[in-house]
Amino acid sequence: MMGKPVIEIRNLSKIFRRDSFEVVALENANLTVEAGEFLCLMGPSGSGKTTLLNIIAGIDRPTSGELRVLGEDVARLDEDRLAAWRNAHIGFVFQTFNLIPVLTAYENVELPLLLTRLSAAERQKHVLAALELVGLADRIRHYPRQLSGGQEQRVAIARAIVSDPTLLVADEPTGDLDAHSAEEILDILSRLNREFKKTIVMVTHDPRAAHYATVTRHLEKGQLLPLEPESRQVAER
Amino acid sequence: MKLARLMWKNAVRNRRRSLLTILSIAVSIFLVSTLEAVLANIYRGSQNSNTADLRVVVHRATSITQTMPEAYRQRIAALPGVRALVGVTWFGGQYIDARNFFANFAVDTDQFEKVFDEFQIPPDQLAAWKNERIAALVGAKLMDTYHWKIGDRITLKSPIFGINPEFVIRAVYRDPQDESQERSFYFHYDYFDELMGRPGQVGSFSVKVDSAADVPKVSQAIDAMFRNTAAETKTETEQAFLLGFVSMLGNIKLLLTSIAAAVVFTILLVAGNTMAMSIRERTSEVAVLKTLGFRPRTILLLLAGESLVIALVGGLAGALGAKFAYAFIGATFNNFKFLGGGFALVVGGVAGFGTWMLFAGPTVRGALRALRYVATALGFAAGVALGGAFYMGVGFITNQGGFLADFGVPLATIALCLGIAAAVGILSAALPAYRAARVNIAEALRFVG
Repeated sequence: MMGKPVIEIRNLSKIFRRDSFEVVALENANLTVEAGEFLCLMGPSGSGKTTLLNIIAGIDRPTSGELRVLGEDVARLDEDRLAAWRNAHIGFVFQTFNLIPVLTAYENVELPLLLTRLSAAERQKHVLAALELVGLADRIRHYPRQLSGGQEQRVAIARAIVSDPTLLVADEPTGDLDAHSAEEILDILSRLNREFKKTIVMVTHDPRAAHYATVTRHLEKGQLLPLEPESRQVAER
Repeated sequence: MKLARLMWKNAVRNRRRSLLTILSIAVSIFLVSTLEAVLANIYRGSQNSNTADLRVVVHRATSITQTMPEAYRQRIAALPGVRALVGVTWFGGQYIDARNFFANFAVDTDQFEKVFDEFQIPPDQLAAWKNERIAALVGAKLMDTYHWKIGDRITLKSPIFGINPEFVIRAVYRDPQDESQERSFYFHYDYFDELMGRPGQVGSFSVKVDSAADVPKVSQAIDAMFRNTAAETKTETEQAFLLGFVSMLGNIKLLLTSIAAAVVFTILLVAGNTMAMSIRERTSEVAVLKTLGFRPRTILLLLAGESLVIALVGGLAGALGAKFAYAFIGATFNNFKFLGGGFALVVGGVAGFGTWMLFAGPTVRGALRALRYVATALGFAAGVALGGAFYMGVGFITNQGGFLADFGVPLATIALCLGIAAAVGILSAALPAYRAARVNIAEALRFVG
């Protein structure tokens, strides 16, 4: 039933060094994420969930252990290759949206495509399709400050999917939103998972968010807790 | 280039800061162009025209202020390679009073047009000048400055010689190769010598030689001829002679260059500080761009390009502002001085705008708002006063003869200033942009909270 794994993690550790003392953010984590899964990482603050997410997404490097994402040994890529790899394969959604304030919704979504060889016309096609998918086709000329929080996050999702990446990572995507907007965002993510077969890894505190995921894993003090058999659930239709 | 739009939007994202940075770079570059243009203008007179290359100047070996016997003329004329020569004596005459300074010389008129062959004089005027004992030949620019016409009677007072001869203007010359030369006043040596009681003394001789090869030969022959006489001579090219005058100003090149360098260093500090602040504020944005796949070198390009845009806009405004300002003063000072009022208003406007922007921002309310109006009014008033004084001062200096006559900013100086601005733009962003490009994404994103 499951395809080939999108993420394979073996004995992964991350230790932060601050002056003379060390902080173990992640210890001997083992994790496999299959294609098409919607993984929810939960745990208290400081449990290492964002660290794990960052390492998977190639914006932080592990201290030890094995890591393959989309078949690539990410930890061994140099800075430039890693940047190109992220651009091609990973879509990011942040808690604080992180749109560029001086760019319109359209221009924000176009950003990742500026690094590709696509022509202006092709870029436009992709950008409009992505904005259409998040229901903001009528807001393309708006600047982030002219949008509500929920709309900003939808623009951020459009930016994350515009280059059609295989893997979406989201760090507390609903953390700064009211309940209604949060639901909208989770609906969109869930739809991307079900209809567009995107593999999604989402870090969240929000128990409702976990409800949308196909798998939920808990972290505590840098330890990835064992998978409880009943937690792998079929996404609701 | 696809990233140009992002670069531009970043450059103008904080309008107040960008405008103030542009303004400070513009003012600094204005000063630098002025200093560089002063240098260029001082050395210009000694570097122009090929005709001057075939001209040598004979003066007393001891000092250019001492004179030599008029009788030297025949002996020099007899030397092989000498085509023509003219005795030239600095008269130092003042028109009305000492503030009206221009170069005036007692000259031999018979071969004048052969020696100063770059001057254009209508033949009938040339003849009229030569035929009348008290006639004067005057440069077109000088005519313009004093609103003289042919036929006007002019009295010059010479504190050097203690005589006040009267002249009548009979001819006007132009020098198409270098208009700044059109500010001299030439009259008959005979007239001068007679008024002085016929002492038969001449300040210098300008000698036209046949070919470039004759320049050293003739020079050596002249100096050899008068060696061991009471009045030994030194003969050099006109260029070397003029450079000798410049060197009397002291090492002005070093002085002006050091001032310009200090100004450039100051803008570098100002711009560097601004860029560091501006880039540091955007640490998390840079991290987001990196997350999306922007490589460090793309980030570097983006930030340096942004700084370059700001610096070049400022540099262009400053250099072109200088060019325009000096051209405007030169064109209007003689006949349309009232336009200096417009000039002062423009300077006041720029100063007022700068002050206004200084107090810009959403928090400007109440007392601060009142302060903003007062400060802007003061800035405007100070700008008008400064602009007016600048107009009169520059107009006065550049409309006299001398090294700054018809002062202007050459294109080469504008190019130099744009180069300086570009360097300031790139250097000021270099360190903060390099740091930003290497930022650790995971740590920088934590900035967001």
